[in-house]
Amino acid sequence: MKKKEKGAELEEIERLYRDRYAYFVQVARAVVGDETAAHDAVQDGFSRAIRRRGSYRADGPLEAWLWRAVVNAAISFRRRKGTFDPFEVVPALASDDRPAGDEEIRAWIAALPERQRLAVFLRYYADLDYRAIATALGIEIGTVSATLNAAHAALRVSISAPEEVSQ
Amino acid sequence: MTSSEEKIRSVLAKTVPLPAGAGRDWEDVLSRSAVSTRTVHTRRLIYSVVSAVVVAIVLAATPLGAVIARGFGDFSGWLSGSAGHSVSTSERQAFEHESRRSWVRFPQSAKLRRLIEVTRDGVDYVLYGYQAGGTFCLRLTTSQKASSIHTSCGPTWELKSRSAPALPLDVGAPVVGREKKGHEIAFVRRSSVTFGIVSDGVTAVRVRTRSSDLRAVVSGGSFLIVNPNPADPIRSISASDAAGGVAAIPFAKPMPIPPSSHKLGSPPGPKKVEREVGGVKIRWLSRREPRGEPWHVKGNPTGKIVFVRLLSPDLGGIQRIRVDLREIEGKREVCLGLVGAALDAVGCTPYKDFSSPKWSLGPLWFMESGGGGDAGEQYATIIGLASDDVRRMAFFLTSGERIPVSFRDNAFILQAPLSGFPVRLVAYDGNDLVIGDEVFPDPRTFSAPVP
Repeated sequence: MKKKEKGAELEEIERLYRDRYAYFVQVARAVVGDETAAHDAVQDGFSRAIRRRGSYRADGPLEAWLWRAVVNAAISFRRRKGTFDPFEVVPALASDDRPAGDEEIRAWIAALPERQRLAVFLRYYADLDYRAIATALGIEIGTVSATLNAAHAALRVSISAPEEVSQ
Repeated sequence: MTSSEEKIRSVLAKTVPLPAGAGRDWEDVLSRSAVSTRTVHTRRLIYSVVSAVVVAIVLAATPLGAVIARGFGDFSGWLSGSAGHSVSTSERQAFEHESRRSWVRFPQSAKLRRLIEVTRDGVDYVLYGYQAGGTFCLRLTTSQKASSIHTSCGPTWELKSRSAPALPLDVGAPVVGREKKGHEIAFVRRSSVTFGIVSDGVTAVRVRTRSSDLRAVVSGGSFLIVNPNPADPIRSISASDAAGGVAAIPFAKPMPIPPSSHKLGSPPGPKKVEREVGGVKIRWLSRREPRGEPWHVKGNPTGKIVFVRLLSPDLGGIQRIRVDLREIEGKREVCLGLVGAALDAVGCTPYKDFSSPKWSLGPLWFMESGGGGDAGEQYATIIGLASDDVRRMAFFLTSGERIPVSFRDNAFILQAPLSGFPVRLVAYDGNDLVIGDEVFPDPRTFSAPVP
């Protein structure tokens, strides 16, 4: 059996940084609360990833591994900074912009427990698949599914529109 | 994609616009990656402090704690079901109606008890309690219309074995209110609540936050603290008795994604698989035998469900497990979910992987549901399926405690205190040989290339 290649190329890390920077910042913001700290978390996460790129085992997508680095860095930042109001993360919509139910969804996302909120952001904002979300959050794929289903279930209660989440 | 998924994408796209990318600075990343040794040491110290906090929590729950707790009596009010006051028929009916919107079902057989009523800053808070099977639950309702109801549950085995004289079930859960700003309705955190149960001898419970010292209402074998400053995190909880004895109460601080759970200790247990069993083989499931109860899937599930059953590993309990087989894009999947009154969290995996000898979890499949996050819940529920080879199961906490498990019809369920994570799941065959040994969360996830 062919041995898996170990280590990540610096160029590939840079490409993902340049392509996906804005998404990394906004998801980190869901953890730390403001954009400045989110930028710092992204910078720090990527710098850690570069230092440890030799330990990347290529048994999953590099992007998911980098998401893990950024999420961990953001959590470290948040611990040092203390709590924040997650309602600031998802700002209120302008009334002209607001179809029925959107405000409830915004409030629902803001009020989710952190892991569910992160899973929702990674799935519906950063467009990661379940496997990548599992790697990014350090949980099992089944737990990603359960977490998103729980989040959807909470939404169903909020807006009374029963349905299950698709994978 | 379902309509709710489209809605979520649309709301996120509108409310969280991408920044222009002006802050992008690759040179800064490169320069940070060449940090001095001193900076690296500082960061390691931060992780060490986090680990030390968790270890401190675990140590507080050791037998030394049990010696302290004896002066506070036991949880006899809860063990006998007499904590608090019984409720009127109309109050029970209103509660049952509300339960349809709740995460955890309210069994018909359960006795509902009213424990605490209190008003703070114009908001009424009512704490209820009930027990069924191996679980007890507290539910806090508020007169704050925008706030969700908080229901948190714990296992009844904790009432007999817990060494500390108080058992928090939810720490720092947010209470949300609506505020009108011009034409806008804003959602704001009004307060946070911490509640749990106390042993018979406890007369006071105190909470220290970063900036204040709060005293709980203690009544009906329970306590409730309303923190008017929800951004001020809880640092410590203590309980005292009439004689002036004080005990520190262990609780899990928000730890949504353990960054390095392998540093949190290793749970005891056999740690060696004595007979290899590959894949989860469940005869009744493959033959579609009607075990448990029927279950009607609501809404629009993903794929086509061809078989579904509702299982009750904890007979008469509050939480049940739903197992189904379905076709998704031409492939057979097996799905597992924790079932409440109106909500269920479902995880699926391809059936051919699940039953394959190469299945990575041996004779087991499991997932965590609930607990953790910044909601403040103190218990996580682990649900799973075990192969026909499994005769009994055992679960160990890092603190050394062994947790009882409800296991029936190949399904298992347990509630574990987050302060005792990680947990070890051990499965034995009919000859008492270890055939499954898994640590949850998987330490390989955290020890492998964690950047």
